[in-house]
Amino acid sequence: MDFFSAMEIASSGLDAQRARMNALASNLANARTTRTAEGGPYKRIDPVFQAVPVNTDNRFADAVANAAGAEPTAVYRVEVSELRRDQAPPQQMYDPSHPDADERGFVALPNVNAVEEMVNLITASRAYESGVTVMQTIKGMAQSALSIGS
Amino acid sequence: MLPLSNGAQALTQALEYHRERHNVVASNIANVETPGFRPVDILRDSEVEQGRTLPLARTEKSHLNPASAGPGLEGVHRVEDTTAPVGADGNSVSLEREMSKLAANDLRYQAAARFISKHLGMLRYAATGGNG
Amino acid sequence: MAPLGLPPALLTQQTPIQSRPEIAKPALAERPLQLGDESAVEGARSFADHLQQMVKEVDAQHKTADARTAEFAEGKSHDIHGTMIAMEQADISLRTLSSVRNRLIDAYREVMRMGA
Repeated sequence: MDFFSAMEIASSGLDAQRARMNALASNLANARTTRTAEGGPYKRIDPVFQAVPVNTDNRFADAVANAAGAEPTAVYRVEVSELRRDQAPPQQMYDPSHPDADERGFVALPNVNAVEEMVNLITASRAYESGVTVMQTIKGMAQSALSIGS
Repeated sequence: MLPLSNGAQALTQALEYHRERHNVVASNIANVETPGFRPVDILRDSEVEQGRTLPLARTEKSHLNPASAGPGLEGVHRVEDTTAPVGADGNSVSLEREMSKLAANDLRYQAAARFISKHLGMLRYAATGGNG
Repeated sequence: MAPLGLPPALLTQQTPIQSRPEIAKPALAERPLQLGDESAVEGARSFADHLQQMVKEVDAQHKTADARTAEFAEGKSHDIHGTMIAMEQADISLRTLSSVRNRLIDAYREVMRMGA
């Protein structure tokens, strides 16, 4: 019955990591964007993750929780609660010839650190692959259960 | 209806336990980057005793009612691993540990399913007089 | 320990019944089995013993397999292939016993058909 909870949880992880990768891709693509619609350089996007409890509606989980007097679930899916814009100050580069240079000759560049974004991209990619593996194990287990008796 | 043998009953309990544990491990993996998240696990007495898990600093002992839970479910502890290193965002999920737990749990579940399938097959063979 | 738990005598024994000297003379066609025929009864009794022995061994193997399975299920054992092999042994010995029983019933029926 309750492989679906695990699937829901795993796919929430995949969704969250995909949102993260979209944000990272946007950050990397706009690492040098000095002009945006709302004025000023591009601001880094940072998704904020939140753990949301899942009601597995399962006798076992309830028994464990009720006996301990704890909250009725031990499992959480992940949600992107907001796509935060990083309010860190922009980087300043001296280049008077740049069309967006201010009166002192400094250009405000986005607060994107390419190295940091790449590291985040690797982490997100690993987490995504783990989510895929979780899905595969769940499928394997469900198929095992289906072949009991044959 | 013939009752299941001791071993078969233990297997059905094991199947439930491993399925539930899969939920927990999947939850830990999905929240690998959630700020402030601490991984959770549900462990049985037998595994903690054998020292197959790392020493855990804090355990919430949850005593199941033996009458309702049946063999194999007594002494299942909900556990938080407080010895794991915590990152800057407060998250202490170790992806490697969770992935290996996932693989082990998967294997145990599938083995239990196979064994019970075999057991039921033997019962069916006996029930059909050796011709089924 | 003989393979499949069968006693060695049973494995090397020849069939058909006519090959056993105690029953072969006189030949069955000339002299059908009669009440009080000691040698035939004796043969039947020893076969019954073999069968009982087999039943005991099948039961023992099933108990072993069950115990191993329970150990694995509770997490006390990590021996997947050992448990699997124990179950297979129990399964095969059950099927063997069943097969022997079927053959025995067939042979009995045939003997009953022969009677006058």
